[in-house]
Amino acid sequence: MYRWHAGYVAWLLNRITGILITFYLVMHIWVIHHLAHGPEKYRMVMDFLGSPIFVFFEICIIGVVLYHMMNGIRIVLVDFGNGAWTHKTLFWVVMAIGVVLFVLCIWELAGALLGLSHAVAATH
Amino acid sequence: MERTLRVFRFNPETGQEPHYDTFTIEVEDSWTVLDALNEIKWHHDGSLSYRRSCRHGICGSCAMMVNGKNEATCEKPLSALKGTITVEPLKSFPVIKDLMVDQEDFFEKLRLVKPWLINHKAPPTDKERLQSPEDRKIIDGTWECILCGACTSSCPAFWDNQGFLGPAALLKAFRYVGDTRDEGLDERVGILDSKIGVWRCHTIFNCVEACPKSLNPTAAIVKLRRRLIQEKL
Repeated sequence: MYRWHAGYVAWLLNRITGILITFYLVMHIWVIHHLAHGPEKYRMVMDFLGSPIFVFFEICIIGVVLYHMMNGIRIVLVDFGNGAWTHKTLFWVVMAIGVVLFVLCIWELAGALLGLSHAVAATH
Repeated sequence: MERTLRVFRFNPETGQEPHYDTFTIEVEDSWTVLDALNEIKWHHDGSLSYRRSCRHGICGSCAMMVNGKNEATCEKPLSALKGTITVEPLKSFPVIKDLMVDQEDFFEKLRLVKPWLINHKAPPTDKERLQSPEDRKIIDGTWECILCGACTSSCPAFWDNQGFLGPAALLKAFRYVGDTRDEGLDERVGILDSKIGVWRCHTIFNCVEACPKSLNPTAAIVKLRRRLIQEKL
């Protein structure tokens, strides 16, 4: 650790989100592999993953992926644009865009979840 | 006016653990951190060791960590610092004694990038190897480096792999690779494109934060990367 500044925080969070995304991908493959065990087994797993705690994790993973993606764009601009001189401003710009995208994603997710719960209620 | 300095001490010959000594000294308004260290050495504790030379921010000898930030101590006024001032040696270099670090490896890395003009054509006999003002501007922000080591000392990629050339050597490499009179890229590409070269930088920008001359080694590294890619294409 040298000093806290936007460049260091951006790099640190990029590492952390990278590890979390790798962990998520492994989990995702584990979930998907249940398809091979038939619809009943898969439905059981999906019902388990539909619990509120996993919906919360899903929201978190949206944030994690968005951060990694937006900082990745910042790094591309550093490497291929003029970003080495404006990396701090770039950090806040990509983060602001990331927050807007996050809100839009949550909006869509909330709509999808509400639609799903209405559909489930209708089947009962 | 009195100021208090908390100074890192380490003497490998005594076997004593590294520790901090506190000195409260009389200072003048215009003094720099280096002036305060001189006052301590000359009037309070002659055993205090640190490196210094020009006192004009040119030689790069007196870089140390002041209140957690790398500084050229001869250019850091005491008036810009509040409260007790903590002075420590540059991070990640082996400490020889007190505030003096071993920079042999740092300068060895510098030599690896061949920091001199390489041009095999015979120089003009009647004048220097001139270049246009536009070409000269390309290397602005690189020739000003005083090789103090503040950037390399703050670099996490260097902490992780001490084989890494580090931002100072790479900034100096661009000083010559970016020089339109230089023809030495072929001789430098082996080291610049190696596992200890430009690709090890993770664009963390600690070097930019640490540079007492407000230079941007990351920008130089990025330009070197582009140049290497252009050469490959």
